[in-house]
Amino acid sequence: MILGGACDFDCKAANDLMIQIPDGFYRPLFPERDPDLKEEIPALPVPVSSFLLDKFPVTVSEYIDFLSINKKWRKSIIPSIYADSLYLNNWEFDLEPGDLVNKKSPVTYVSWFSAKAYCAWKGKRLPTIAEWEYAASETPIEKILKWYSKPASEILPDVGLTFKNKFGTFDLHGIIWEWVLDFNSDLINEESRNGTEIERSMFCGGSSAGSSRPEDYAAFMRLAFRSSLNAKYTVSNLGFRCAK
Amino acid sequence: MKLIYILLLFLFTPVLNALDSNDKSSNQFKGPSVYELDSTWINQNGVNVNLEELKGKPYIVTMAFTGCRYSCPLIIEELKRIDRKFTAKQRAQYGIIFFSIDPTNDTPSVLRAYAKKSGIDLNRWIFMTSNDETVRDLAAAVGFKYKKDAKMGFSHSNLITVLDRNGSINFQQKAINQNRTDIINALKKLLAKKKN
Repeated sequence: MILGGACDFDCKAANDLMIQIPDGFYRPLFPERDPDLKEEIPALPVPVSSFLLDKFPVTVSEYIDFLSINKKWRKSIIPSIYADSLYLNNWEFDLEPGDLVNKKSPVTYVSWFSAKAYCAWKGKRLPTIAEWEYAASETPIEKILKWYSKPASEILPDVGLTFKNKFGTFDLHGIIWEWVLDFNSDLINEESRNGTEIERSMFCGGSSAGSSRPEDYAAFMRLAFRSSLNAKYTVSNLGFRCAK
Repeated sequence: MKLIYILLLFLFTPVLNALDSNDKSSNQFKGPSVYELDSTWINQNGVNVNLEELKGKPYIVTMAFTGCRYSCPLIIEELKRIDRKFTAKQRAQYGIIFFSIDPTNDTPSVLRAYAKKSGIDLNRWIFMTSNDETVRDLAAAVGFKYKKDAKMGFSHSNLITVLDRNGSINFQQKAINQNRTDIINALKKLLAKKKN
């Protein structure tokens, strides 16, 4: 069905497909700090239990289905705590994006709240950082960086056209960045960079220094991007997929 | 390694600026309010509280957990220090809320005992607990970062937020034991404003 790469099949049906990701490990970038000993705990691999992950990012077409039933999330009436003013910015109307949006492409300009609501409506949830990073870890870093360095096209392509990883999921890299459930759990931010006593007083157990994977620039970029996000932010190249 | 991280943050400065500008360019939305969240908590007396019920007066709020031995007692002290900078008349016009991020352990009775041990006046302070989902939403709405650590405690930012009468974020202090003038002035300004 996916042969040839193009989404020339029923995308909606295909997007309902989920892939079983087997047990595995996520390798955090930074160690944790033991709050009692005030010592760092080495960044050991974190076990990730088997879970289901959407084969593709959620498409514009699927998001229209969501909005047609869940009126609260339409761009004209969504409460401002749930999304900033650029929510579905490239859409012309509440349920009709217009000619400049490819309905078979990943939906973007969505907030964390709206992505979470969509997944809940489907009986799913957003993947965690550990799950997402583990599932996406099989793509060669050079390929990811090459994509990161290219400007995004104004009209996004169909899902299913970019990298397929060894588990069988598509587009974890290659079209958009994706929301994760615990995007706000990266405590490496402006308050914790100095590695001083002040830094230790900022957190109960957190903060860190010295990465386990200094070569993984792509993971650093994702960490930096996630750390810059606020749950209501909407961005032109930020979408999501669901897990279960 | 930190150098690389800092360099990356600089690389992302345009992204951050672009993200910030989303809000600045907004004419479509009024100031977001945490009272728009469908958010129900249980206070230290075991009574259900929907956040919307708090509408009408400013609050100083923080998120933490009672099992935290290092930074959370400091946050409580910080709140007390801020509170002491107000007159009794002013103090009657705002409240202080401690939202627990540890619903499993912070039951109403644990919160009550913690407040008592910390010498807190529960006529003016509220201690709240809920469930993981509700905690996650409120944390996301106010920009509070947290993570369960290896010892089943939490790493978290030390964030103190001033909410106005409508539940909009008026000011945030992102560290403790630092200059408190700004947060005190922000709350004083709010108190000086007439109610809508």
